[in-house]
Amino acid sequence: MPAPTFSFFTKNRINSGSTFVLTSAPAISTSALFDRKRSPKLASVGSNDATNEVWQITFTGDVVKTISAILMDNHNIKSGNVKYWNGSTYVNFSTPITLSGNAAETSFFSFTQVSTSRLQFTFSTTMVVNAQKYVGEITAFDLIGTPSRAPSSFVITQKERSVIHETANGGNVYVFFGKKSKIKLTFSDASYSDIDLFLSLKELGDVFFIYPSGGLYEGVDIGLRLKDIYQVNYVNDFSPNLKANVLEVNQSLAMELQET
Amino acid sequence: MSAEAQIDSNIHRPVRRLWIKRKLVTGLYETDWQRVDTVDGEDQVIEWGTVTHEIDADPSTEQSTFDISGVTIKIRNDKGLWNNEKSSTSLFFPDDVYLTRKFTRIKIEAGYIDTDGEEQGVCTVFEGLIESVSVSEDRAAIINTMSYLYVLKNYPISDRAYTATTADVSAIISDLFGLSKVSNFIYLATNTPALDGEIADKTTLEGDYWQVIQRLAFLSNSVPVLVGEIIGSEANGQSFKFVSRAPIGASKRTFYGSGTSAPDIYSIDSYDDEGAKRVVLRWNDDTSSLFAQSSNDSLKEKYLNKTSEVDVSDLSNADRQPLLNALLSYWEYPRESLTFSCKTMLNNINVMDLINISIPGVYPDDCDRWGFGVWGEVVGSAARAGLIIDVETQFLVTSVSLDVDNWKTTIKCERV
Repeated sequence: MPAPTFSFFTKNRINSGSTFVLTSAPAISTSALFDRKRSPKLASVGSNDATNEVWQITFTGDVVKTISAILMDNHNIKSGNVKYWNGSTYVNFSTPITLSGNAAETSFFSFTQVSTSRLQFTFSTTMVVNAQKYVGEITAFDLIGTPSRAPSSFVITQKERSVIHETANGGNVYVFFGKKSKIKLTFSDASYSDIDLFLSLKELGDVFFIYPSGGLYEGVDIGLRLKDIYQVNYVNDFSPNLKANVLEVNQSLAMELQET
Repeated sequence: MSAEAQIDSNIHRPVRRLWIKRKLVTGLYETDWQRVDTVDGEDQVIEWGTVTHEIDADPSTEQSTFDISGVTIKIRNDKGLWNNEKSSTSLFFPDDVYLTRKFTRIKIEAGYIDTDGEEQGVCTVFEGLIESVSVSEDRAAIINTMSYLYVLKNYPISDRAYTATTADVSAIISDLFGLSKVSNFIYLATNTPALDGEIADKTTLEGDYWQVIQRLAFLSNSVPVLVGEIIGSEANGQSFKFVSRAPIGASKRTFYGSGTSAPDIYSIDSYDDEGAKRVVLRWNDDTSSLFAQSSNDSLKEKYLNKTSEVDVSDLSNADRQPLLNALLSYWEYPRESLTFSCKTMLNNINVMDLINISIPGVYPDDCDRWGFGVWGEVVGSAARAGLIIDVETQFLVTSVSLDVDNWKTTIKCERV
C-alpha cells in the first residue's frame, strides 16, 4: 500500500463563477459541488441506469486552467467517465478516468497535467440500481507539490465555534455552529526543494488544499482517510531552521494550516 | 426529526445562510438569489447581527405601532468582494451590469440540522435591503441593512392622487399593496382591520405610505405587522398583516421556565406584574365632544381616570364613537408583561402570536427547605420564587428579537 504523501494542490477550478450544463440535476444546487461540505449533494432528477446523467462544467469565463487531479467525494456512481475539453471536443485524460463497478464513495484520479476550461462528467449507473446519481463534492485542481519526505509530526485539531446557554434551572443548551480543522505539520528533515515548496505556499496569496493521504493511501485515522482533504490558509510564520548541526543537510520547519 | 424537536433538544446545530439579489442597471433585480455566506468553500460572515420585530415600537403612544430593525452584518472582505462596483474583485462588478450595492436585496435564513444531518425548519428570519456597505483596512466590511418598511417610507401618499372621496380602511390598504413597487417587496397576506371604518376624505391622508398605514392602523384599532417568513413565492419578499390587536390562531408554544423539568427559558429579563403603565380609562376626540370612558369604578380608583387625547376626525362621523369605544375596551385593563430570552431560534414565533408560559418556580435549595415543618411534608408555595406563572396563562407576543450570532431569542409579551 502506498504511503500518505501530504500533497498540496491549488484551489478548486470549479467555483461559483463556473457555468453548468446538466442533464437533469437542478442548476440552483450546483454550489453543493464546491461548498467544501460533503453534504448537501448535487443529484439527478428522474434519472435511472438506462439514462446517462451528463454534467458539463465550464470554468469561470471559459478561461483555461491547468489541472492534474480530480476528486469526487460522497458520490454513488458505479460507472461513468470524466473527460476534458481540448478546445474542440471532450477527450480522455492521459490516464482515462473511467469508473466501472465502483463501490467507493470517494474517488481520486491523477493524470498528466492538462490545460482546459471545461470538464464533462458522464454518470451511467449507480451503486444501488436506478438510484438518483449524486455527488457531494467535485474538486478539479493542479498539484502544487509533494514534500520529498513525510512530516515527522502531523496533528489535527478541530477548532469549533459554539455557545453554551444556561437554562432557568442551571442546565445548558449547547449550540454547535461548526468546526474547522487546524493542522500542525513538522518537517524535521525537509530538503531544499521542500523548503522552496513551503515558501511557494506561503507566498501563493491564495488558499490551497492539503491532501494528507495524497489520494492513494487509504488510512482509517482522521486526517489520513481518502475523504480527508482540507482547504487551508498557511497561518504561522515561515521560519525554516538549520538543523542542530549546521554541517548536516536539510532543514526543519513547522507549518500551521487552518481550514477556511 | 422536526424543527420543533430540534428546538426542544438541548443540542442545537444551526444552519445560517446569507443571500443577496443584486440590482441590475435596468432597475430590475437579478433572477436568482446569490449565496454569499460561503464563497467557494470559504466562510465569509464574521457577525450575523440581530433582527427585531416589534409592535409598540413607539413607547410614547398608547396605540399599536410596529417596527422591524435592520441588521448589521460583518463580513470578510479580504478579497474585495464587497468593494464598490468599480472594483474588478467586487460582487457588484462590472458597473455596466450591476447598479450599486445600495438597495441590494438581502436575506438571512436560519434553521436546524437534525441528528440525521438533515435540515429542519430553515426559513427566512430577515429580508430587506442593503442601506450601506463600509469597507475597512482590517479586511472586513460592515453591511448595514434596512427592512422593507423602507419601501413604504420611500413614497409619499400624494403620489396616489386621491380625490376627495370616502374609502374604507381596508380598501386603502389594498390599494397601496396592490402597487407593484410595493408588492415586489411586501406581500399583503391579511387585511382584516378590527374596525374597518370609513375614511371621510382620502385627500386628508398625509405623509408617506408607512405613516398613512400607521394612521389607518390607529383609526381601525389594528396593528400593521411585517413578518419575516417565506410565503411561497420568491418574488414576493415578506408578508404583511393588517390585523386587530388580538392573538392570531392557537397558542404556538408553551415556554417553560424555572421549576420545570426541561426549561427552554434562559432568563427573565423583565417582568411587570401589574401592567399599569399603559392603562387609559378615557379617550377624548380632541376635534369634537366625543369620548369613551370606563365605567369600572375599581379601575378608575386605581388609575385615576387616566385620559388620552386623540384625533379621529379622518373617520366618517358614524365610525368615530365605535373606535373610541374599542380603544377603551382594550386599554382600560392593565396587562402584565414579560421579557425573556429562550432557545427557540426560528420565526415560528412572530409578533401577534399567542403563547403559553409556565414558571412554577423553584425552592431556593434543599437546605432552605429544612425548617418548613417536618421533613417529608409537602412544602408550601411560599418557599418558591416570586415569579410564578401558571401554565394555562396565555400571552400575546409583542416583540421578537432574533440574535442570529448567539442563537438566542428574546421575546416580549403581554397577558391576553
